[in-house]
Amino acid sequence: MASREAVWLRRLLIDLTGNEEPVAMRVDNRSALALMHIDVSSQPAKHSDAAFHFVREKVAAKMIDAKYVPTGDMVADMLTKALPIAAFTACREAAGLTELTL
Amino acid sequence: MDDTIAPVVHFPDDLDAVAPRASAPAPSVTAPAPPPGPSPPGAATPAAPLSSVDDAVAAALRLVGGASAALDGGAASVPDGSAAGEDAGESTSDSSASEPSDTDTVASGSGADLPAAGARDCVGGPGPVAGSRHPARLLRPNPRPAQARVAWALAAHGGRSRDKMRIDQARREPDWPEFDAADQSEVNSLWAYGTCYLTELPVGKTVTDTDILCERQRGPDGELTSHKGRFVGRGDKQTYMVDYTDVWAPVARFTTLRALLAHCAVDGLHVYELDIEAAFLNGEVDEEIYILQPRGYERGDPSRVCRLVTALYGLNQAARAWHTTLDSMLGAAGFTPRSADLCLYKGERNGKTVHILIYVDDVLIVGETEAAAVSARTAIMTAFNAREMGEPTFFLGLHIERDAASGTIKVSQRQYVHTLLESFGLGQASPVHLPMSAGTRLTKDGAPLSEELHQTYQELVGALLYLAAAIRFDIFFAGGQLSRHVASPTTEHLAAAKRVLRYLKVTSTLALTYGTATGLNGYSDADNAADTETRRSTTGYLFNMHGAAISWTSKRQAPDSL
Repeated sequence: MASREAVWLRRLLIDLTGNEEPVAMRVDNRSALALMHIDVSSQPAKHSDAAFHFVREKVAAKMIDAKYVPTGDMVADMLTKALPIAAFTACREAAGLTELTL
Repeated sequence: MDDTIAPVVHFPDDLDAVAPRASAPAPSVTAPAPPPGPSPPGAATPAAPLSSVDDAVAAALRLVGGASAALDGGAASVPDGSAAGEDAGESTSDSSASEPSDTDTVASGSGADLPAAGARDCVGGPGPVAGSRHPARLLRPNPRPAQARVAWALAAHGGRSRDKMRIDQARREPDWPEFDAADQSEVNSLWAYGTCYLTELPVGKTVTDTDILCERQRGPDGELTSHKGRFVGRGDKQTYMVDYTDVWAPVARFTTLRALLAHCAVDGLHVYELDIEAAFLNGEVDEEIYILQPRGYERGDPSRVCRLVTALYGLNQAARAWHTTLDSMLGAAGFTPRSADLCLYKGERNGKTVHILIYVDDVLIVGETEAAAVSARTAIMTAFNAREMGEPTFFLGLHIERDAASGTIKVSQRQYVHTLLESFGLGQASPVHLPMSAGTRLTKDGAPLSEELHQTYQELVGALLYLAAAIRFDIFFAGGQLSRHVASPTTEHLAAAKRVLRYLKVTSTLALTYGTATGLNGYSDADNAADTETRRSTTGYLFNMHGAAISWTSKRQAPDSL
């Protein structure tokens, strides 16, 4: 799902700036990351093959640049769970939502 | 009725950290007021169990239903329709003027001792008390009077504007002369624009009804600025495939707007805003539409009808007709829509790139040089009657602040947050620093809300989701969790929703700041089936561009998806 948005955003950015670099994606799940790069199919992951094929294709086409990030630096954490205050504030600031000083 | 209801109503405490504990019930005329201590003596069921809370609220609401009706009825007699006194920015004298009648109605109508006016005062009363949030408190009776709770519900509903009405209502308002003048000038401009011309209705053609909508327009602080009349067609009376066919029209994504602003901040582009006036009247309609003359403002023979030349507000095809017209105008001027977002146009002026973002009648023009942007602006302003807004400071409800020195653009929504807090009666709420306490998982269990509070909950969640979609990704997760329960919310869900409001109160001045970094970075995460009810995972992603987020979501995955 995130990769579809990434592909769309890249298209938008090409329209805006002409910049055709791949979109950097940060993931905190090493096995998901591994599946994005190498075409392996194991029995348990079979049901999600189609989705992974999409991501893999985009990674191979250099539209997405997927990298690992430790969970502590995972900004999207605040969108999947209710975080304690320190982590929450850190995520909020990392995504540029900061105090307005006029 | 009074002896069964009045002393019994108690509510779970957690819902109501807002209404000040200090405010004792207003002195009553007939029955003794319940003392503000826990479990008042003589109560039929001292500690109302959670399951009966719903009934209690419903009963209390029925009790003040008389008052509520009085508020609505009283609106006509009190200037500005402020009988409810809940509109943001209403003067206190207005609301106090209406209070005695409310109280009278309650006392005489139902014989109860629930003083609606006094209850309302509780909402705007002195400082809040930050109570402990221990779950056990939910089971204890609420030491505070029921009126405060009911007042909260009423205040929430009064947040709806009473400034918009149809003309038949406006005729009964004290400021009808002002409305009358506004309507007259609207009708005059209708003829001046050449929107329609008078004709006989051809045989076999139907005529579409019309109406005039009246609105009091208010400034940022709620003060009355002007009266506005708007002549509209009754789109609900139109027939599909006869009077209209396609009705859709694209609007820009928020993400596109944010990306554009981020791009402006980093590359130091020139931005201008335009507001197209009476935009829909520019749209050309293909269908042959006849409408009734504006009632009360007819010209010549009232039996003649108007043949429409352009679209009219209220008609089904108005938005689409306008978009088509604007699109062909921009196309002729050398701007083409981009496939990523059909409302983002790109073109060249003086060899420099110009982007144009349209959102119905709001237009944002971004040029590499000032001359290029001005040239594009002139092209639009020659085609349509538009108002020049200069550099945007307030676009689509977003405050946009540009700091040329540091090359940053800050986007905030502080005004919307303030209005939201006011309209839900939480101006005095005690602050919290997290929208949802860590590890919270809302479940379906709990005492369901009364019908009235149910609707309040839905309105509140809708407002939170709008904020979350616009700039406040920090409440996106909380808003998403709350929205899963709009169908059958419980008292716990309402408490959680109010908590988000209290968080917003502390953080209303947070702004997305673009231009502090460069580049686009995406983050994608999932919570491996943490939802214990469905065993489904929640996925979240967030994209940062030039220092702040431009795109985000949080979504429960479909079964077996990735």
